[in-house]
Amino acid sequence: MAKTVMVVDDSGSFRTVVKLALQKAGYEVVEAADGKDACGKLDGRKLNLIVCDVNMPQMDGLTFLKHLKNAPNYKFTPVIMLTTESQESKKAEGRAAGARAWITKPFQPSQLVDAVNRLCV
Amino acid sequence: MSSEQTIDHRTTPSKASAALPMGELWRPAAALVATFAGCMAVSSTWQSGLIAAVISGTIVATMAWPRRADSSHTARADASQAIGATLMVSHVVPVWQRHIEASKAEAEKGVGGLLQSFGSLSDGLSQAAQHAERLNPTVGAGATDEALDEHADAVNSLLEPMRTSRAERDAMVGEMLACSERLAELGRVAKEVRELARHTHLVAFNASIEANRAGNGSGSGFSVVAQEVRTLAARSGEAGQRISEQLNAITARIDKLRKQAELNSVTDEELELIARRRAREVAAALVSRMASTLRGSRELREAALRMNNELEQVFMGFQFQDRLTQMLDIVGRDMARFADWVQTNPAATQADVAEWLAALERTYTMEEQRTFHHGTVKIEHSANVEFF
Repeated sequence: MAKTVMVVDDSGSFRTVVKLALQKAGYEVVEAADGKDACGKLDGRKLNLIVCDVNMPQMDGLTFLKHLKNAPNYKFTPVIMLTTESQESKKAEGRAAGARAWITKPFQPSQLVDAVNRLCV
Repeated sequence: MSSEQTIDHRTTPSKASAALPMGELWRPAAALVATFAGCMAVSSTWQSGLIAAVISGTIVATMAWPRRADSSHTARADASQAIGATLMVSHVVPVWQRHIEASKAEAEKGVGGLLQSFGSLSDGLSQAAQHAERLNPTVGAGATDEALDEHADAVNSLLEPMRTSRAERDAMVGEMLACSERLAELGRVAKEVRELARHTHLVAFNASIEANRAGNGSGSGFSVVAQEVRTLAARSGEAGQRISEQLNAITARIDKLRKQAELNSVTDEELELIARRRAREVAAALVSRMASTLRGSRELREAALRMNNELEQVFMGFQFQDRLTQMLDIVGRDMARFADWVQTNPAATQADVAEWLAALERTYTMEEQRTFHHGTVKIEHSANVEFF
């Protein structure tokens, strides 16, 4: 059975890039347009990993990450932050919130797939 | 980037500095445009270059107006100038914002469509590569012999009809030999018939002599009988002769067929050798064709992999749209902030400029934005994964 990855990003085209890369690697992909949309999709479904942007409207990625870590069904779901942010302070914030990896955009699809393969539970 | 756009914004202005005329307020706006245009250029794509050229060109051209106005009318009263600039800003900036939003929407739509198309292309290539991968048995040296060994039973089965045919032919030759012996026996019988005829003729000849000696009385009848017996003996001898001749002809014909059959006769070993040789020729031809097909499959797979690598770079290039949107968002928000600010601040100080630029910089999310904001050299960095 294919593993499921949620992609949280406010850019539709960026979600498509990520979705194409992951689907080609055999993953099923659930999309969310921002942190708030992603929270609405934490409805008990099985998520093996989450790929999340940082800067998004309504709810940013780091806030969503904190929310996720308080959700009983998802607190152990690994999260990869995929963002244009490269500041060390932001990375430290992500690490403290429980992110497992930080990828700076633009990214190589193969790099993302390798990271997902490594962290996917 | 023009010299106007590379001014040093890092200078800390004095709070006590005099209020700047309205034209000086364009300084942070110029920095904003410089950042925007520079970041557009870094994406190195024709789409972003085009959008950057249109938008930043419009912005710079529009901003030049109050600069020129400011320099050519320095003696004009500040109050009336400020009102004019405020009016301009309140009307022009919303139009810029609408253009920015339209550019974002167009870019999102266009890139989305392109991504779907490239995605389908990539899927098709992947499927072709996987199909070629499944058809990847190798054809090495000795493949023909291996194939023959693996299918020895099948090759042997090809010999069965020939073996059956040969057995039937051997049986027929055996029958012919038996017939030949029977014919030889008949020949001997025909010879006895001829001997009997010759002997009968001799007896009839003696009877005829005895009939002449007996004279005309009872001897004449006996002479007639002797003559008839001689005639029968002659005809029997002729019939025997004809039978012998026919038998000889048939025997000669059978002998000829038998010798011919024996000449065409091959052993089982010879038959197997012939069959294997022909099977080998057929198998070699098939293996050659298969090797050619596999070469084609391998080339197809390699081409698909190459194309997929290229497509990966294309997908990476498409990420410019996300970066473009973020840059435009910041530019648009700062324009709106500037328009609001101008409404209540007809004049500005150096401190206002510095504070504005610092606030703008805090909104950046990308290193490139900070680089272009300061007009410093961009440091190339490769995307990498940092695991925590």
